[in-house]
Amino acid sequence: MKTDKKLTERYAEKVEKALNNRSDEMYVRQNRKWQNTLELGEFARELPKDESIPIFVGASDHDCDKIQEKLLIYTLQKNTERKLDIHFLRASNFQGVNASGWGTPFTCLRYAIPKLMGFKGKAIYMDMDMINFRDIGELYDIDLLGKPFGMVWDAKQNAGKRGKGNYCDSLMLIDCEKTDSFFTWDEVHNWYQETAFKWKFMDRIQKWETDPTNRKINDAVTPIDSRWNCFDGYQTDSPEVDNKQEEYALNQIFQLHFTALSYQPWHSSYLMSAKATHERQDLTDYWWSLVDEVNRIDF
Amino acid sequence: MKLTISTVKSIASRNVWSSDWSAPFCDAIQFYKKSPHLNTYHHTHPEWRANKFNILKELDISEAHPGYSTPMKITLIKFTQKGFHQAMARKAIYLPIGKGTQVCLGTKNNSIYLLGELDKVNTVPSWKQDFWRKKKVWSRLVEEGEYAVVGNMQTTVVYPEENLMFLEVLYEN
Repeated sequence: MKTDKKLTERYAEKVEKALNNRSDEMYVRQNRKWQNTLELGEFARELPKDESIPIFVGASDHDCDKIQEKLLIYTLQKNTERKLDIHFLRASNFQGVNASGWGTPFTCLRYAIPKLMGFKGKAIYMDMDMINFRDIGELYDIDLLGKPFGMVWDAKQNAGKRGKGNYCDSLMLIDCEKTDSFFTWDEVHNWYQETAFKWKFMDRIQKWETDPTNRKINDAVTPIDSRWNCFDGYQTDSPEVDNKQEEYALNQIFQLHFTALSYQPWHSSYLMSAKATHERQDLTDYWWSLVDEVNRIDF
Repeated sequence: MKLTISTVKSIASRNVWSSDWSAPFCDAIQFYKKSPHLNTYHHTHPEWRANKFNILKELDISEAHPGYSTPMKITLIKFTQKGFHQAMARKAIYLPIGKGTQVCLGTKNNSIYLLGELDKVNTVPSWKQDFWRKKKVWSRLVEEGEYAVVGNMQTTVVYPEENLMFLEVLYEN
């Protein structure tokens, strides 16, 4: 985890390219099309068709999040030799979005990914409040066994009548050819009338059964290793004991997710949640070491 | 205040800013906020954590200023173009950080009155050092290394000039 100057320089170009390729220009073009037709088919055909891994990042329009966005891109690029095609999903890039009823400024944008991909190929979605520790190509290569989504199991998530536990869509591997049977584009893109398609989506992926190995299975989601979406160091798929879950050591985590908004080290200014100290100092210390590493790069 | 200032400067140089209710539209970093049950602070930077207790000790200025012994909230504020520090009635000290002289103001009038006075300075810059207006507003110039003690139950504010930084330390009553 020590800073390697040569390594830093090596990835500087990649990070700069990814930051500049935030798709703003692309989405401006996309918006023009939406204004006219509310259709993305033509736009989707413009997406690169090379062997790069499409990654969509749910993000805000606020400058205070920029440092975290840099860290995410930096760590993704640092840990892979594969070519990444990173796009940020921001509400301002989508015509007519009403994000006021959403939990985050980007909650429902993730469901537009299949349409953005022209309902073809696989894509990865992740929230912006993550940092990567492992080759993201390994996540991309996971076999979804014919299902549209790969997600981690969150044992603490409130699932209504089913009690606790549900799949978590803050990091998804998506097979865009198969999502159309699970939700339609009309449901997703009607930003004016549907304040939060997310709750419909979460309700649908709750329809699971328990297999003999105690894994939750359904037609929509293939469970993936919880280290790929590690909530604040916890093993999200482990049972709660005394209201606590097992924890991963820092070197066991594939992708860390700072889920607790109060405890995020950068504390976005648009959040009304109280400021507090993260329980895992090793995670925040590592986050700050990444800040120093990224700040040394002259963007 | 050397340790406090150097630690705060070091953390500010990381350029990771948040916001604070007392400084609308400003960049801010809240380092410390004391709760009745637990001493908590939101800023997780290791440098702050390592120096926290020594800084709290350094900020105990009760020998020179009785009553100013226990900080309850420590916030770094950096002015932006449209930002301002919300005038309020608190027992506090202001520590300028970085270059630039800062003007601290106080009055027994309400905060709207004081913010109105600030607007006048934008119109007539020479008024910057003449906030006296019928002796109802006091002003004080402070630079890095100094601190301004602002008394309890007075409306206080720091003159907002873009990129000026200051540390606001509130004390328990």
